[in-house]
Amino acid sequence: MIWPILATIVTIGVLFFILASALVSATPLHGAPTLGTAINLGQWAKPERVDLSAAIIGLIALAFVLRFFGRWLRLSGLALERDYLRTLGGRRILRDIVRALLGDSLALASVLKRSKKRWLVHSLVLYGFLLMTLSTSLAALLNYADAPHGFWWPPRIAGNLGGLSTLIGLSIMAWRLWRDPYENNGKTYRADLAFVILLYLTTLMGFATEYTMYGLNVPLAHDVFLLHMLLVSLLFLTFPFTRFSHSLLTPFLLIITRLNRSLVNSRNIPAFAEEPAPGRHHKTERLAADLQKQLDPQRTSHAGIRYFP
Amino acid sequence: MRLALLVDLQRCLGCDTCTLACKQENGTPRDVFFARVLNMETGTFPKVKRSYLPVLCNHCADAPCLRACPNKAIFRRSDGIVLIDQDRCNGTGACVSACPYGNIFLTPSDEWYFPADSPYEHYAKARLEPGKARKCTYCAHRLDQGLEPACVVACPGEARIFGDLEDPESKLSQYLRTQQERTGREPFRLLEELATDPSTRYLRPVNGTATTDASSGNLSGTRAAR
Repeated sequence: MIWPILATIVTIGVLFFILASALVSATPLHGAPTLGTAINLGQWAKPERVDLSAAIIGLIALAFVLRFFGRWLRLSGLALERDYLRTLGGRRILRDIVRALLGDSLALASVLKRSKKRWLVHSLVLYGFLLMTLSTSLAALLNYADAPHGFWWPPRIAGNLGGLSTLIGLSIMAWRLWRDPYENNGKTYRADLAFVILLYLTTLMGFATEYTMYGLNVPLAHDVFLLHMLLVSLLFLTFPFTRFSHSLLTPFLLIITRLNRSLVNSRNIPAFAEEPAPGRHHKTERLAADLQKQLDPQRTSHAGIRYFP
Repeated sequence: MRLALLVDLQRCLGCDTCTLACKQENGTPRDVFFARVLNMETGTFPKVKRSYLPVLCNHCADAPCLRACPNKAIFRRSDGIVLIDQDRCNGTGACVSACPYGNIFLTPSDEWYFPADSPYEHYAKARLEPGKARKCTYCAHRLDQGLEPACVVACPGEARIFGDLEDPESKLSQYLRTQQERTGREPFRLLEELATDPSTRYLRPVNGTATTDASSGNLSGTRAAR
């Protein structure tokens, strides 16, 4: 529960920063610090317009993400589990969240446990993507006055290395999606392909921007950069509809799994001991309540579970 | 084609035969039950009623477990059955958290009922890998041999009807039609508001509740309607 709230606060904070910087850039105030992103689209749009557009796109993407998580929160029934989770105590909950976020998700421990090869491919894409995101954010937000930065500026080198790593990882993933019949699970295959293709194109366009800006075709730089920005926007706007969603969804579910496992291991609640499906207890209560709703729509009586195997 | 299971709550006795038949068929370890029966009480003594709700994997058309699995270990067959590929499952537990019905099981290690293994346990253990998510398969292995799921065959009350939802001539469709004509009952699904479109359907008891009234000691509903 804490993690989505934190993520939301951070996202809103970043978006607010971009929006505020756009507004400050549009109407300069005396003594106000210089804010804004270093995104320059040349003849296509002034920097403050770019900032404003980015903020609007970001807000729309955020709305999609919140809606997406709203559904998963309902599915997980986390709200019904609140009283049970309280028995764990804040420290244990925090420990589980940190372990799930840093160990299982960021370090990909859950993948490494089963397959080193899969972990390597996953790492190439995940860390490559993170490097690209960090370097772009640093370049756009923290060094506004010096933009555009030189080719050998360290964050730029890190971003390019990240891009290269992402392209290699995505190529292996694309090969696997194409060759491995098990990748088509009958439901998410198109979403998987969409994400791989979109991220591949975005990264390629990022390299194309680098090439045109520092390479041989400077006049084309703003056009290519615009395309890159549009692809980045599309990547985030389609977040809930492509495999991109698993980058946040899987950590969220891993947190719940860890919490539920702790709940079973803590033996705070006798009924939870030896529970083979962590989290099943509160879900079963929800099923019982739902049946009661079906049988007695007027809710004249309360149903309690006597036992279940 | 969409294979589905219908549970007629009017006919369910809460005897747990389905639970045992499933255990026998699938050789599940201790505490793991793919087919469960919730035993519920309503009201205050002496006006107490008891209802039973058999639950199992719903093989949802929009299965959250399938979407949640980061390893693509869960897939949906063309007949609508959702399965977990045991070879690909990494045991991350994402599906367990995603399933709103609590019908996926994941144990770090398996425990059994007896200290010494009987031939049955030897057979069952050979089929199971610990640390992998498991759930009801609608007995896909039996279906592939032209047999019905074990719980359906075993149910003494014939409360479980299995068939193709999309085939109007299937046993399930015919049963639904007959019940609609005779008793006016329409099937419902559990947690419909979550929009997972489960395949498993339920029919309400004819008189609203198939229950035991503690004040009279008589079964009402179930026997009367049969």
